[in-house]
Amino acid sequence: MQQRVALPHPQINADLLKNVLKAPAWYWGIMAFLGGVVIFGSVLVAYLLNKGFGLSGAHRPVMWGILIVDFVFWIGISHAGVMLSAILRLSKAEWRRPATRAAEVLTVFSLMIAALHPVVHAGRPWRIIYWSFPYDFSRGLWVNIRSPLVWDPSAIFTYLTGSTLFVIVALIPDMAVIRDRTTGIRHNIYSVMAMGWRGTPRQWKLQVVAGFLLSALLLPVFVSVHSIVSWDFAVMIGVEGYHVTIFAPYFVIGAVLSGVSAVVTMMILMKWMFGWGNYIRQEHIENLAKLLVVIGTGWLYFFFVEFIFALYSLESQEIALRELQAFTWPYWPLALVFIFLSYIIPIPMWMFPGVRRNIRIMFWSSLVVNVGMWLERFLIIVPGLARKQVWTFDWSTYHPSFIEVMIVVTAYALVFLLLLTFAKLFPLIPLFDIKEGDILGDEIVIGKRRVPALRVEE
Amino acid sequence: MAQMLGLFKEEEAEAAANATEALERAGYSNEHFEVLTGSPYPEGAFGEREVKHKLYVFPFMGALLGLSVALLLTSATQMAYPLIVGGKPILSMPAMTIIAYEGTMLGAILFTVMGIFFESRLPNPSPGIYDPRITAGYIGITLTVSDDRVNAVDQLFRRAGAADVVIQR
Amino acid sequence: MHSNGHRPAPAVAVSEFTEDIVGRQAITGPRYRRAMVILGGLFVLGVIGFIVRAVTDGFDDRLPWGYLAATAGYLLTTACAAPLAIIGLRAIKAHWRRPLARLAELYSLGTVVVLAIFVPLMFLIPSAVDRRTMYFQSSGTSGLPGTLGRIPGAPQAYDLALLIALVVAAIGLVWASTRPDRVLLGNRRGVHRGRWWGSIKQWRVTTVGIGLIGAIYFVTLIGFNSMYSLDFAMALVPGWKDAIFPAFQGITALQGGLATVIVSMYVLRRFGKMERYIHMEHFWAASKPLLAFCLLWFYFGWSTFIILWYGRMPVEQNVMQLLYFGPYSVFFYGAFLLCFVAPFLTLLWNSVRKSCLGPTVAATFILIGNLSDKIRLYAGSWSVPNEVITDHALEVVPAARYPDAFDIMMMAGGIAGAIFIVLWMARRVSIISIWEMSEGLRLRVVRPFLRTHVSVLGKPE
Repeated sequence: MQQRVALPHPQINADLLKNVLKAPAWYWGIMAFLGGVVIFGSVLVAYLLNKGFGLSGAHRPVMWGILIVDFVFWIGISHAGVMLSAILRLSKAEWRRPATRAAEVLTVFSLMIAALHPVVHAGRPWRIIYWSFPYDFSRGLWVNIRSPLVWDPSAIFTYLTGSTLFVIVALIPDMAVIRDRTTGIRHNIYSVMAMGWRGTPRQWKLQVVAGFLLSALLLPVFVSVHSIVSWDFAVMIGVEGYHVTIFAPYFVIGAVLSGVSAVVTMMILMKWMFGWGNYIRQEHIENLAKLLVVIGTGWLYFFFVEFIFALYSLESQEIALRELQAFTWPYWPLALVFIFLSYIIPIPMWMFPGVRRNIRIMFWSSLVVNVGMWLERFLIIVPGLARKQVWTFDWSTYHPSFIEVMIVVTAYALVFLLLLTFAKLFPLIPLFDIKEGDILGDEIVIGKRRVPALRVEE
Repeated sequence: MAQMLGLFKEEEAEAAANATEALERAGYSNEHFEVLTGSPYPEGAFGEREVKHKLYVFPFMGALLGLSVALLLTSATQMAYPLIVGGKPILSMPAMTIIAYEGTMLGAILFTVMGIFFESRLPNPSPGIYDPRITAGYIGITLTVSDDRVNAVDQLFRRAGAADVVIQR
Repeated sequence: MHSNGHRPAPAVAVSEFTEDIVGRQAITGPRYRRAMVILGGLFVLGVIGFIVRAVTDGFDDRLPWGYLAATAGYLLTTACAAPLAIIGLRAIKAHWRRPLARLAELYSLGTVVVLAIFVPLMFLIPSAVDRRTMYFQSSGTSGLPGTLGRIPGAPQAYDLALLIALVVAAIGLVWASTRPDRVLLGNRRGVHRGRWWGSIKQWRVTTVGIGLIGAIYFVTLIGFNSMYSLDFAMALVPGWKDAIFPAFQGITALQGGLATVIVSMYVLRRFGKMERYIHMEHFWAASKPLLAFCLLWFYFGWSTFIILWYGRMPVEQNVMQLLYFGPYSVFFYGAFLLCFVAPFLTLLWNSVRKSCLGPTVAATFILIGNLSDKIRLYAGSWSVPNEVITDHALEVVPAARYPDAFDIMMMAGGIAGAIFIVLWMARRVSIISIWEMSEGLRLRVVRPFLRTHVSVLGKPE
């Protein structure tokens, strides 16, 4: 199904720069609300750091609570962007065009927010500097590079640097478009950011090659990041359910499932908020839904294997942990909600074209996947620690405190706030990519049928 | 000398291609003029010269540098503070490999981006003649001519179907 | 034409293509006959090797049969997996799959050889009772927790059922995808098959049907690969608990399957004189996922290694000795070198990828490396004696058993058998799918675009 309509470039500029050049009133209302939430959350974080991490619900044996759950969740969301953008670029999928920028930006912001969680969780954030980075201050103490808690920052730093540069490089031609449509100080600022871009064949060629090259470089980094996060857990031998070889790809594919779902949610929101119906079309959401069916089914395979291998060991502690996760209060209702929201409800639904083409249903169903996937991370992290072990003398169930819950809420608000801020400064859909798609569009006539076609350089 | 920019409408790309041919017939090889567009076109669409670049060298250089720095950092810090943890050797290659991998990729990415800027000739504080209509879909053909040939080139552009010709002396 | 002189391959008329392929079907060249004789001879040698092994060693001890188990594992992750690449490409409607589709699908019939190997092997596997398997069953006396009691026939009966389903799916896939061409070729020979006349509805049903059967084949192959690697490797080694292993076997299947397609494509182009239909672009396109699969091979292998290395549990260290650095280390290093290092370093360069020979060399590395990998996994696990199979940990790492002449005969025979089936079938149906290529030729034209030439590819849906 192709519904592509070639639009003149001035119209594309006007449509996609609508919010950049003049934001509507509702935009500022939402920004004010989100800003309020973020300020309130920041005050709570400051209070927590001042009084100590005892204000959180974390205590022995569950020292990793919902802040770490949320850290893993946001790392997961960050995976969609570059994965989606890079794979679709490398495979030259035509329907990638309106999705890439938003997905990449989602990566950058969710990764930033993810990294904040362990910083807050540390209680004394400044110590992270010498826990994680090779920084001596003449005491002769150096970081332990054998710890996955050092691997993590190195991976996140690489990924954040790479994905930010990826966004910046692809923004340059669009900076030139804004430069040419603004005056005064804004014009000067965008002129600096456009770096003297003129659109020569050399600049375009390098832009296209850069897209492929950076995609190819970032794909292995994105895989490594969540793998390393999973090894925070998996290299441990003291906690049942953690020491599992499949954790790395299982975390990665779970991240991709939640991340691509988040991109669907975000694209539909963009379509509604900015009226981009000509650009974010049914076919894009439908293709993403098909992709999600494949990813979701792949995830289910890994989930099944991970779960079943705990039983395979025939060790009583492993089996007891699975009983705790799936059949014991308060975890069993969460487990039920998790599996229904992550897979059983959305994925079979998306197999039907009628559902895939219904934007409203797609919005809600992609949203619930992430509720489910958040619970999945909770069920991996918390019950494993909460289970009473032989040498655990101080033992009770974990309850998140009000401050922790509010920090999680603030994280959502902050990501949304950053995305909206970005949308005010830069176009969320790459203009040049859309224009290129129009130039490359063609038709082939077979009998009475006009088949949509694409010009490709082989 | 004068800088000239012939502007052709988006839907008249064929006219722009005709203009480049006319320029070649008038003695300007495709090394003398440059085509400016608001979006990428298939290479050679306007008969412009092939773009040569060495971008692919940059990631390899960066990767090598990143790998070296990461290996140096991980081995030197462990030897400077030789504490055995979890029964693992001081120089634990698998653990070092992970950080070395990230270092390699970081180096490759940073050098690639530097390469992109270098090969794109960006930032360019004095980019030359330009018109904002380029980003509105117009196709521009720019070249530098001697003052006595300005009129001839202007006529050439207009005959080919240019919507406008900008001249900067 | 591009300014760099490269011009898209010229379009070929459908009628010209059809006549060319139909004409080729009518003749079997001497080189083709020779290849079939050699492959058939190797297959017979394999059968002889099997008979000698059965007579001299019997079926009481697993040890002498490890290399045959490795052969089945190898075929599952190479020949039988070749259609996976095409099934995936068809799902995303990639045009470049078209000249390769038939060749890859014919390889699915290699499952028949796997079935023939599997039947005797399954008698060498002990019952699932009181040991770690996916069936969690206990005799009630072992004291193992959480088990389900006896499940009759486990594990052999369920693996066999899945394998039969795979063979049926393979036959269905080949039958459905060759139907239009069989009718066309039959008509040319004057044999009219009455129930296919190429109506719109029939084409619709055929294309949807191929998609569905392909999906079933994909899932069943990955499923059986998982079960085979579990029941015929992992579950035979006490203390080997590696959740990623079945998925790793899935990745090796994708890698080995694509490598099989690339090498076969090269042979077809070079010796089958198909240069007009198989271009450098096909190798270039296939080389990119092949590079990705090489990286994934390393990633999945590393994901196991880092966990076992970090954990330092004695039970895991002995398993690492058996599978990585102990008696079968030469096969591990061989696999590591040929499935990852060599193809990665080869495919890293665009100029190598953008050639017919480069990807073929990398694919050849992979096919050899895959065999090395299967030997370390299957011969290694089959060298663990039955007496310790219910233990919690592998206390003594058994010595390596290197292949003897009969092992080599059986391995060569099994591999030759799978290729023989492809060549034999290719004389009955064309090696290039006539209908699928014709569809592609209609959907691709080369057009001038301003001052260059571009391919225009139709995307009907």
